[in-house]
Amino acid sequence: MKKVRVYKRRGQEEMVGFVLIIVLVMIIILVFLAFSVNKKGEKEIESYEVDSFISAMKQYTTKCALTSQYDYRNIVHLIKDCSQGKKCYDSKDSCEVLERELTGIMNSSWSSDDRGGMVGYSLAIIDDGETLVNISYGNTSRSFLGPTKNVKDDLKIDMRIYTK
Amino acid sequence: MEIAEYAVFGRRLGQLKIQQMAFMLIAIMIFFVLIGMFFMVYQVSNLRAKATELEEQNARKLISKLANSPEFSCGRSFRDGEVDCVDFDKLMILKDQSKNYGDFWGVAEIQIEKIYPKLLSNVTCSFQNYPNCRDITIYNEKVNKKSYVTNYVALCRKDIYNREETKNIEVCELAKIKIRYENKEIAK
Repeated sequence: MKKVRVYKRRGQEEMVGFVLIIVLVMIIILVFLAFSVNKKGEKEIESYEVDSFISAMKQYTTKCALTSQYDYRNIVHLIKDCSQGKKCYDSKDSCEVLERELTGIMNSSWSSDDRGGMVGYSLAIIDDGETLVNISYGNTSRSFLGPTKNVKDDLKIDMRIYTK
Repeated sequence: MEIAEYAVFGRRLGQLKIQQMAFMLIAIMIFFVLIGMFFMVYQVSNLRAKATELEEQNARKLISKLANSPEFSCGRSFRDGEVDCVDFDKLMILKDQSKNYGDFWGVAEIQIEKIYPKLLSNVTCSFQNYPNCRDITIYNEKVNKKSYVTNYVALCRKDIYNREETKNIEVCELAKIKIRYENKEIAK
């Protein structure tokens, strides 16, 4: 009888050991899963293409002239004019012209027909906490292209190209 | 039960346990090897994607370098000429001189295409239609080529307002610089 009891206890100990191993493995799997799920959060990919686009866009000459008929403003100047509430020479609102030009630029440059992986984009220009322009198209996603850290941006341009 | 029988039974039980433990260890080993393999496959697939991405980024950097080279860049001729600014006037001259450059640029084709403001017709630039044209081919080698790699540039030129010679203006439009490399794999 004593021997039977000893074997039963040993069997129980083995069961406990087995359960412990299972629990340990489960914990490892959970940690691994939690790590990979966390990685799938918002993912910004630094893109030189976005850098170049912002740089080229800033130099674009708009149809808004300021002090004379032919003093055409580029996007950088127009952003400053818009934040100061200035009007163009033909009395159009500088902010309206800015938004129209930027919408046109974005539509022509970032089309989902040319880029299979793109699902949408957003462009926001914020000056002193005030949003001057906010343009968006298509859908958003967790993964997006943005400017690199090296880009010289004194205008606080937040641009995101959302990808699949 | 006799003592000898107990001993045999105990030994057999011990062997069984050693076997059990060996199986358990093998199972755990296989399990961890599987996890390791899964992790490796995941890492390798990520590595390939990263390599492609890096290759593309490098090509874009090369385009940027090209756009900022003296033959293309606006330099100080423009009031607000920054990086990624290409001088349209220079390009019109360079177009006919590109034969002298040979493989200086290390690419098989260089093309610049205006993207904004949009033009109604797809006209290739010549001295007759300049600046109301859409694209200009600077360099084109007759070889098998890979697909285009593109990057954005500001395409700037000097102009005259309303045909009044005293009123000089600077106009910058948005363009794409497109390059193609030779496809050496097909050439082989």
